[in-house]
Amino acid sequence: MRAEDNQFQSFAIQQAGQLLANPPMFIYEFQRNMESTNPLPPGKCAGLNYHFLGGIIIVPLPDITSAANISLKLRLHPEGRLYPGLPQVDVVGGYWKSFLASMIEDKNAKDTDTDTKITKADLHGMFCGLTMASSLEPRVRLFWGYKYSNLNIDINLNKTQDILGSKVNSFNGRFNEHTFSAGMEHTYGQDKRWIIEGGYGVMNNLLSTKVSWYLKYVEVGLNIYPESVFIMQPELNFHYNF
Amino acid sequence: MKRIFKTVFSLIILSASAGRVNAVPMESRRFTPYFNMNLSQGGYLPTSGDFFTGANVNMNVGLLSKINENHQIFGLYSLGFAGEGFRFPDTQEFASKNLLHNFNAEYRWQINPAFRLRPGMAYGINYSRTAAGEIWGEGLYDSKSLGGQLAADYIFGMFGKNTTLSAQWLYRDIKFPNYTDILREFQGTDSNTELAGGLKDQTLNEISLSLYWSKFFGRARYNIINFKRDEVVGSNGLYNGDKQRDTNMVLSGGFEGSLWIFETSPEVSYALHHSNQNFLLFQSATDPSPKFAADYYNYSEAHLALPFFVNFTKKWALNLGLDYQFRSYSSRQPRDSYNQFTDGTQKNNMVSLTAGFRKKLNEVSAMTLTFTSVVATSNNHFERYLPYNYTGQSVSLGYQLTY
Amino acid sequence: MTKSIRKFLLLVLFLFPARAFCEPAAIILSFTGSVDFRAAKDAEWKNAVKGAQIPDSGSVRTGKESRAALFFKNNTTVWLKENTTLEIQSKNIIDNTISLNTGSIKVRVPHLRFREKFSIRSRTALAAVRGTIFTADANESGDLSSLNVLFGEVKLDIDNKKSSLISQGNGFADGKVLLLSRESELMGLEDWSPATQDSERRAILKDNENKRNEIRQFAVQTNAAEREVAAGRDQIKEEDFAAGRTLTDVHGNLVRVDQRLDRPDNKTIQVINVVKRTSYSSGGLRQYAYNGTSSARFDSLIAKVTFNSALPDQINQFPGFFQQNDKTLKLDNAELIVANTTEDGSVFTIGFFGKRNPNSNSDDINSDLYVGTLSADATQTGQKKLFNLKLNSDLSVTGLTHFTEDTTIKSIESPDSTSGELYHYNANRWVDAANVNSKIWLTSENFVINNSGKIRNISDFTNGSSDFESLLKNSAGEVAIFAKQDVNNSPSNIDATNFLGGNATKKNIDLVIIPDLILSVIKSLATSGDALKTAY
Repeated sequence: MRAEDNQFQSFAIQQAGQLLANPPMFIYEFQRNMESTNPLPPGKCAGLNYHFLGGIIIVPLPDITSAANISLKLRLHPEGRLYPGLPQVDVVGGYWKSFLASMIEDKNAKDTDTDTKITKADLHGMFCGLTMASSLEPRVRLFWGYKYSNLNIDINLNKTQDILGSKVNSFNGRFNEHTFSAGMEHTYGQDKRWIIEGGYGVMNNLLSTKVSWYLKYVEVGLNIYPESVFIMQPELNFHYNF
Repeated sequence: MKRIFKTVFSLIILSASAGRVNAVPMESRRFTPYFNMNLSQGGYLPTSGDFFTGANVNMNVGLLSKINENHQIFGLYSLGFAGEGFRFPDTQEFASKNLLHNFNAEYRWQINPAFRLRPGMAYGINYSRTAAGEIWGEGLYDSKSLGGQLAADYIFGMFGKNTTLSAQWLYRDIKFPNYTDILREFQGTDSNTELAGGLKDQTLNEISLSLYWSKFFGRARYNIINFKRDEVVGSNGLYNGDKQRDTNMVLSGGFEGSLWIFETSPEVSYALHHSNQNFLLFQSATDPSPKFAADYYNYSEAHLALPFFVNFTKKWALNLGLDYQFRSYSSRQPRDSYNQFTDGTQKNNMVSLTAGFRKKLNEVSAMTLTFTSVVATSNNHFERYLPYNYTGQSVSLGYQLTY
Repeated sequence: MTKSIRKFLLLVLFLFPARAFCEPAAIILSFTGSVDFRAAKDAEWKNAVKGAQIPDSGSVRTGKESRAALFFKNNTTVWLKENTTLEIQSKNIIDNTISLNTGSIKVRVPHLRFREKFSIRSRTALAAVRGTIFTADANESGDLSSLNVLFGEVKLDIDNKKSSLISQGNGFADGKVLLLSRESELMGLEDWSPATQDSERRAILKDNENKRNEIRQFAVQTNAAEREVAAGRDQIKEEDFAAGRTLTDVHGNLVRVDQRLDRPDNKTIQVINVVKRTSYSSGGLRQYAYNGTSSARFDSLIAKVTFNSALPDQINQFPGFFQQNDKTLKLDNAELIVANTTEDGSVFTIGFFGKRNPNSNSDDINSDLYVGTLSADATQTGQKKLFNLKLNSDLSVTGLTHFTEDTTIKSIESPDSTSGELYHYNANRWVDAANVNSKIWLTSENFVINNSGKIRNISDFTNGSSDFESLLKNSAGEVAIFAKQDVNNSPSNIDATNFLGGNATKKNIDLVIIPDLILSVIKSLATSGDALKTAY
């Protein structure tokens, strides 16, 4: 017997179940879209990056990290400067905070209210890392790096809830990940690069892959996270390098 | 003290400024890096089950160090993820996933122009998941393997073409740290099951002979897998003390050919698998009277893979493919839908037809869009846990880069 | 030497090393064929010699089939191809410019210090570089015909108009910035040394390509070998889900837990959770006494539900099936059996068996308690009898005594925890269905523990110190169940024996349940929970 009319319903339910089982990891999927860890183009010493859109499957949509986020790249060492063959070293970091969370707060709620309300909801995250790049050919660069990601969810309730015999009035979610990544960048025009990157998070065994087209001010990409809820997520980032 | 400090300070300044860095020319490198990445994401629609998605990611990062003309060292790290997908019957379920980390190193010694020796070492970690709830690292079939290989190559000319004859001995010690089966004790078939994992721990010894001539290759492999702990189940329904032992003999061959705008690289293989393990058929985990089946795991298998490319332009190519796999068990009886043995011996077939496009994005990378149609058939009709008879369609988007 | 002069000299050495003293702008490193140089614009051309010094305003030219290499004081190297003329303008020790009048050059400029400059000039263009490798061509009129950047970045001004930044992999030709072709790249990367034969100029590039092919082959062969090693692990699958873990229980005993989810028939789902210990101490119990032995033991849980219609063949079809049939799909039977299965001949068993009444308006299943010790007989072991337990039509279960809930007395519950510790005990009194004077207390102590046996706190789950799935990986539930005598309307420390088979060896049931299966159910059937509702 099979559900003839619900070919995709089981899939959707299972993905929803995955979300329920680990909400911080679900939100981290969006944070990953903004974590741009490819190196600065040759000749640039700093860059600012803004993550504009994420998406679902192939549909671009604003995501939870979109509203307020910024990341910065700084070149610590240009390629070959200190010693022949030493790679370019960039340090990268970023921060986001969700304005959507504050929309569900009710700061005036009291513990005497009938309903349970959220008095504080705070979602924010940060990442920092180091990226190294080495030119294999004029148009091909190999890069690799390490990134630390941190995500925080803090929710306070106006009244205590009885869970497993204990009183709870706040939930705190933390997500930490240490990711090692490697990739290759291929120049296909002035200020135009095609990048493929793979990363592995050692704490949660998280695999992430990205294919992107990095232009002068815009990066358009497709992230494939094999075990995420939304699996394929397009991204659109803006950057300014100088 | 002041004088010493000033002298030292001066020396530091001088030494730092005396050397001037030259940008290194890219031509002269002792180390040659290697990077390869394939990733694909597909949607699958089987007749047996509901829609699901699966990804395959393979990333290799390697380094070659040429010590001198006759000595080289290779190092390779591979990260692989094999997600959900259509499977050949009796192998794995659609939902199984594997995450692999492999570390390989090889030393190449070109003793003379015709003879080369290649000792190597390998360490691998394989995480497996078979259901939505499992967590990486908790999989029963997680394994770690450590071993090495020794290969020798003889290079000569044959009919005017370069030919390489290779002989290799490969050894692996494979541990399954999470796998143990106290359910056997629960079911009354074993009385001394272990608390810790390692029931499937095994050693693998393999010898192989390969011949590469022009664009043709042929290979013969023979391996023996000895289980350190797992015992053979006897006709009395008890694990009787003999350790399980499997052998495989595989013959394979193929070639790479191109003519005008057409490219193909067919491959054919034939395998014989033998095991001294038997099988107890339980209707459920709490079946009080299992049925015994001897020589349950012996089979012969044939496989044909026929990929075909038509390069319309320098960038665009049409990809067509046929993959056929057939397995025939020598003693295993097929089961009906009520999980009862029926007459005859079990046979499984799987045919995959592939059509798609490949676009070269640049000299090192390409994008593919592939449609696959799969038909799997078997005379085994017990499909409660693994599908045997199904058709399926899938579409996948892939990117690959090799440098 | 005075202190101030010494300090000045040190400063000069630091800022302008190796150039604190007077030097020529460049020297001729090597050459082949016909190469000339002159010291000034109007000076006579002289034949080049190795090591010849070229001062500011000096020039170098190469003839047909001739090449040269120049070395500058800031460690820049310039290679000249045939028919090339170059003029050097070195204003001072930190500002160097070369004018390419005609021909082709390749330039390697190291990373320069602050305020140092190096430029290439043609009749109409000026390229400023630092830390760059590039090639440049000028035509007969002295115009820059192409500039290919191989490494780094070049700032190019054409006719004093807006400058372009050309990064590596790109070049300038025909008045615009273009991607380098493969041939242009190879031309730039080949060996430009004068001493190298033309046929050998790409030898290093070929060698690199060969090395890349070798490592590609190595990767292909290695990956194929690893796939072959992994291929031998076919599985026989006799269940939907299997999990196992070794951990320490709350008493400190080493425990192995295995779980299975299978389907005995097409309407039934069954969960097995078996627990093995090689020895048993009960030091973690706080409320109810364990009076049995400390030897190895085996505890089991069997949970079985049977539906009123056949289920799909594959479990991944279940969510859609439950959603589609939520109005018609009902539970017919539900069983929960826990047992101490250490000995085949004496299996202490506690079970809840329930059946839906199709004639009632409710879908609820009311289940009663059944307790007994199953012993071996001529035909079956106690274990085999355990597997064959089922609710008969008269609400009896063969081998077990039927008890109903005693509603005349309240259950005993542990007080709410103020510390957040996840520990709970409770006791409920049950009455023998065939004898109202025969009562037992079913007591249990329940723990949520980590893999080391430590009792968890609710804050472990709410303070976000670990992510959810890591917490589950390191958590388990332990429940110790006893059947105790009723003394003065309270459970006593003495084990009850007033049921079939008795309990001479004072057994209890101590189960450790890992959440792997529950997580799988949550993920797969999250919104289909109504179909599994039962009342007890």
